[in-house]
Parts: sequence; structure tokens; C-alpha cells
Amino acid sequence: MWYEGFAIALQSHNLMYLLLGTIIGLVVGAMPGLGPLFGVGLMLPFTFGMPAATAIIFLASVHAATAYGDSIASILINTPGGVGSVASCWDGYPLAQQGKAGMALGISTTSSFIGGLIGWVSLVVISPLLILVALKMGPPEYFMVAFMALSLLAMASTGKVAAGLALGGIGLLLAFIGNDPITASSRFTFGTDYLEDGLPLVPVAVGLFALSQAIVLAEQGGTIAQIRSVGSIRQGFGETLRRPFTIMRGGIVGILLGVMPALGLSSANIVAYLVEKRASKNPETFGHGNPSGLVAPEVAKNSCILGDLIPTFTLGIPGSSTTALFLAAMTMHGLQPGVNFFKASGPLPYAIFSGILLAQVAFFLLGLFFARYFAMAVLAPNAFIVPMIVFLSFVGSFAMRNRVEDVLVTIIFGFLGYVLSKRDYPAICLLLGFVLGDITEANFHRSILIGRGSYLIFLSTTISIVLFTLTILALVGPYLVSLGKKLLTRENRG
Amino acid sequence: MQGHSRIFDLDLILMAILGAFTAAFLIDSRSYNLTAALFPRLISTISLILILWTITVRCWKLFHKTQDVSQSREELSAKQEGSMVWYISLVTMVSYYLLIHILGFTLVTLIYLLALPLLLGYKKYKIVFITGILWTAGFLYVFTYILHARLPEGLMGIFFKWLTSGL
Repeated sequence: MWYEGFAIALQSHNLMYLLLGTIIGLVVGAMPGLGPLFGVGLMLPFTFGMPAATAIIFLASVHAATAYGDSIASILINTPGGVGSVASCWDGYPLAQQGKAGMALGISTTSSFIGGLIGWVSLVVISPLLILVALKMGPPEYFMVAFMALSLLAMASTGKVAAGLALGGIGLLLAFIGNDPITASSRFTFGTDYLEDGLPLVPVAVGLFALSQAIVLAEQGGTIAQIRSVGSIRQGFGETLRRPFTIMRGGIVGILLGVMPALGLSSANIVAYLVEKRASKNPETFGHGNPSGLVAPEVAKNSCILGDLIPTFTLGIPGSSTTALFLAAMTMHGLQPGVNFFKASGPLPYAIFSGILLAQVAFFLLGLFFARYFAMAVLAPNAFIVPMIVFLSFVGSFAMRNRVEDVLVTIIFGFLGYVLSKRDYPAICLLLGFVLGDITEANFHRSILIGRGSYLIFLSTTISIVLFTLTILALVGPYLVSLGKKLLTRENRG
Repeated sequence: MQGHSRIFDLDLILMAILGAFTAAFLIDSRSYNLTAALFPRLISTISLILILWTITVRCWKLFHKTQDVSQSREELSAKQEGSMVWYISLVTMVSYYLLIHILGFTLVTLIYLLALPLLLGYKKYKIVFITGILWTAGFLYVFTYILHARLPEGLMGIFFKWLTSGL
């Protein structure tokens, strides 16, 4: 069956659409704010007349290439291409400033490809096992996962713990704007219709990181690269392969967050970055161009987008908004996703999975080819680049919902992001709180309802106990280790 | 003068604004039912405590800080000149947003892409002109013909339509 599947995927018209999808994905991904959701949504209507396998292969190539393309803007101009590549800015951009933009793009291309491979293997080989775990997760377990991710706020707030936690709190408060998830009562809308649906994520993220960066670049003048060099792409390839444990950690985070519905791309890259920083022996080098700080989020991002597809194909449950579009495309072309997907559709599922693998290869090869030309952007004058960033940020914010008010949200958060970056406050804490706010609150209330008011519901299953223990260990572990070390030194001296 | 700069410390102003914002959420949450108010109350209270703590620490640091008086007048004026760029960037962004409602998205985009590089000191007029036209045309094409999205026309667009429909 696999042989037949590959034979279908390698047919000339499928390969042509694969290439076309990859190019479109790279262009859309490179634009600030426009991620896989926009790319797949944009291309979905064009698949109506295509055969089923071609349509899904085309969408898969757009999906993979957009996720990869997102990192190009993150690395070169410190502007997240989409919500899935926010963390790629933190070490990718310092590398570009150091005249190593080519190396950073090499790391991004290789890591994204490896992340894609990890995701693909998980999709094909271990998806039944992962689904078994995911199905056992209810609101208490999801709350614990969100709580675990929130515990990373302390890690994210480098040196300014109290301010970082406060910003995380403000991020959570911003996430509460709109309808309450349980009683559906309107909150913090201050009488405006615009806020009824809550604050949109893309304009907030684009404002905080892209627009604020445009102001910083305008102030700096000159060019992004402080050294007139872009470095070697091949070096990035080597730097990535030298870090197998970083790849493993990033891959695990990406797959786990991808499999869980609602927790996905927006949190995977940030969580992977913070996990890697925590695991590192030199956490102080993060944010100053540490290649591990780029490898981890990149691997996590691309393994996450394929992890997202696991429940879509095997259960017919979309893991995210983007995979909901995949589900729509599959249904549109007469495919029946679910437990019998492999059994009922002949060689077609194998052709689709082969196509998904080929999509990873396609963006890897095109990425390596074009990376050098993309990298040249860091040598262009900031006065020329800044209007482009502002324009693309506005277009990215507007395009998601066709609402001009979203542009104003981008400006407000852009200014806030600029002030925060000027005073060295971690804006990422605000975004992390904002991303996790909905999941945390909704699952807390659902759990309490299931437990009939008892808080013990949060420790009623093995999974939630394990998650809770891991969170506590992650929070107090480093202090316990340093305390132990001090005691040992004292004993030795004694 | 020293006391003056302490009061207008940017960290303190920022934290005070964030504190006021959090307090507004706390006050507003009083009108909601218990379920809807639980998390906002909890989070805003914790955030307020953390903000107050940050303000206290900052005040303590400022109180013990000795101001460096050796900074020359030239350095100060250079700093002030450089700091105007953020102001220009912000004003042009807000103008961009406001003018969308009057001139429409396309025309404002073109004006912005032509004006800002020059305002920021980029002197290659030909490149600015060509890229400005190309980006606007590309954006207009993608939105109109590929996305079939309606771009905000602004008052001028509506007026122009009315004028041409009359002819």
C-alpha cells in the first residue's frame, strides 16, 4: 500500500501542485502575522476541482511551507511571521544581527524539516498510542497542562520575576475579554461590540512583536546586520545536527501540544523554547544568539503542525482551526476521516501521507535554495525596511477578519511592546498569559462542574497527578538542587 | 531636578498605568456573576500585588540611586534627537489608521510607503517610488482578485463612487 501511495504522490501533476503549494506557503508565511491558517484558508477554494489526493497534498504543502516561512521574518527582521514563530525571534534575530543570518536560516530550515519528519513518523507510527492518551484527557488534565505552561512564566521573566508574572496576569485578563466560557455573560467589553468576541490573537501578537520592532529599527537606523555578512547556511545545518537532545525535546513538546485540541501552534514554540532554556547549562546565553534557542522552537513548530493532523485523520476531530480546514477539504472530496480512514479508502490515505512527507522535503529543498536571498534583507537600510514591516503588519492584522479595528489593536499593542522592550520587560509573559487564558479558565470551571464543586477533581486521575507533580518539580526543582549542592559543599568543608 | 526625574521615571509610569488597568478589571468584575468573576478577580488581585511590589522595589532603587551628573549637554541633546524617531513612527502609524477612514486603505498605503522612508532619512527616491507603487499594486491585486476581499474605501472612495455613478 505504501508503495502505491508513493507512486500516486509522485505523479507529475501532484508534484507540480506540491511545488506550487510550497512556493505560495513560503510567500504567505514570510508575511508578518499570516500563518498556516491564513495560507490553508486562502487556498482551500482552489482545491474544489482537484482530485482528492492532489487537493490534500497541495494543502499539506501550503501548510508545511507556511509554518516554515513564518520563521523567515522572525529571524531576519524580528517580526513573527505568525503566532507559531514568536519564539524563533528570540535567538534567531540576535544571530542575524551578529552577521549570521544565513546560519540562522540554515538552522531554521533544517530544524523545521527534522520537526516535520518527527511529526510525520508520529502521525504514521505512534498516532494510535497518542490518541489513546489524548482521549483520556478531560478538563482537569487540560487545566493541569495549562497550569504547567503558566508555570513557565517565571522562567520567561528573565531577571524581572514580579513584573513578568504581573504581565502574565495582564495577559490572562486580556484573554478574559469577551464572553465568559461557561455562563456566556459578556465581560470587560465596556459597551463596545468589537470586544464581544474577545481580543484577536494575531493583531495582539503582531503588535507586541512586529510593530514594536519596527519602531526599534527606525530608532536604530543603519541596517539590521551589525556586520555586513549573512554567514553560511551549511553552518546552520551542522549546528542543528549537533544538538540531538534539543531536537528530541522540541519534538516531544511539539507532538504533545499538537495532539491536544486547543493547545497548539501558538503555545508549542514558546513552551519548547522555555523548556530548552530550563534544560540548558547556559540559560544566560539564551536571547543572545544561542543556536539551541532557535532549534527547539523550530522543531516544535513543525512537529506540532503535523501532530495537529493526528486527531484530524484518526478521529475526525480537528486539533486546531487549520486542521478544521483540512477536515473540510477531506469531507469535500469524499474522504472519511476517523478510525477506519486507513481501512476504507484504499491506497488514497497512503498517497496523502506520502504527499505530506514530500511536502516536508519540498520546503526543505526550496528553503535551502532561497535562504541566501532571503538573508540579504538584513543588509537593507532600516529606513527602507520599517515602512514594509508596518505595512505588512497592518495587512496581516486586517486580512484575518477584514476589520479595520484590528489595525488599531495592533498599533496599541505595538506601542506597549515598544515601551516594554525599551525598559527590558518580558513582553512574552503577556502573550503567554493571553494564549493560555481561555484554556485555563474554561477547563477550570468545567472540572469544578464535573467534580460537583470539589477541587480534588484536579488530582483524581494519574495523568493530572503526574502533570501536577512535574509542574511542582519544575518550579522548585532548581532551588532544591542548588540547596542540595550547598549542603554537600558545607559537609565536605566540615 | 533630581526629584522631578524620579517622579517621571518611565518604569514607574508604566507600572502605574498597568496597575490602573488591572484595577479597572477588578472593579468591573464586581458586576459579574460568581463564575464569570472568579478568575478575573483572582488574577487581577494577584497582578495588582505584583505591580505594587515592582513599584516599591523601583522606588527603593531610585531612592538609593545617585544621579550621574557627568553626562554632557551634547549627549543629552543627541539622546533627545534620537528619541523623536519613535514619536514620528507612532504618529505616522496612527495617521495611517485614521486616514484609512478618509482616503481608503489603498491610497493611504501608497502615501505611507512613499513618505515614511523619506521621513526616516532614506534618500534614494527612485527606489522608494518604484517599491511603493509595486507593493501597493501587488497588495491591491491580491486583495481584490485573489481574496475577493473588500478593502475599506474611506469617505473619499464613497464620494468618488457617488460622483461616477452620477455621470
